[in-house]
Amino acid sequence: MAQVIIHTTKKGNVAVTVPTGELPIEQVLAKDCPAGAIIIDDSELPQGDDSKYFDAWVLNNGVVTVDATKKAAIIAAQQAQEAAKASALAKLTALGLSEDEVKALVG
Amino acid sequence: MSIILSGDGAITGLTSTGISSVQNVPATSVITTLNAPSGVLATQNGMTGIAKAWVNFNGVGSTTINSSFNVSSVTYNGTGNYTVNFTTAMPISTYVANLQASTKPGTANNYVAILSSQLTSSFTFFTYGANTNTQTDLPIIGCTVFSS
Repeated sequence: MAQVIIHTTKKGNVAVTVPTGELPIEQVLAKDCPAGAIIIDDSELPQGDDSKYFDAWVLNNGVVTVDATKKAAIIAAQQAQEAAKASALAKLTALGLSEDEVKALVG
Repeated sequence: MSIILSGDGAITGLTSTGISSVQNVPATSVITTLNAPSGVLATQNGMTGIAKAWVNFNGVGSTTINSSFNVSSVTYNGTGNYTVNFTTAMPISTYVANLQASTKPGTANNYVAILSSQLTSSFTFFTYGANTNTQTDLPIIGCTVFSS
């Protein structure tokens, strides 16, 4: 079980600082992190599906949780991006571009 | 005491303190490797032309560090947003930080890594999907730093 350092960023989400092991974690806390940062076990970070929504993580009283509103906004943005990509692909295909040509344009 | 390199190739003023690998060096030998177990040579090489720091890490999720030199930590600030903190700071803020970011070796990559800020103690960069222009976490990230 590894230890990490967490703090709340100016944007309101959680930053996670991972020591390399070159220095003791207490020294990393003092040197690399702002005041108020705390050391926790990485097992205390959101796991499973929630680990993917890092930008929705919030720190409350030393506990990292997932903000449901932020998570919903992230999912909506991802879905909008996928929809826009699918729409662009459909329009390009309708113009007669081959699959390889479409891939060359949009990846 | 100053270290003096004379025209005839002689070095004077160099003691063995902090240097582990120089033993019984013949007069005509060329020292190709200089290792130090501790002190400034161990954390920030005193020679120019070689890397002053490097780190290789997995940037997906809250970051897993694979290997490093002169890097105390990596901070995951948000999706595709990382800060590399030096164990021993660079002497100048205009050092060169080379960045690599990819999904896996041998595959086409449409990703870019862009420096955001550069301090003597750390630097911050973003990784982007070049096509989507959105910040993206990537599993293979490498940074190498050269400095005076």
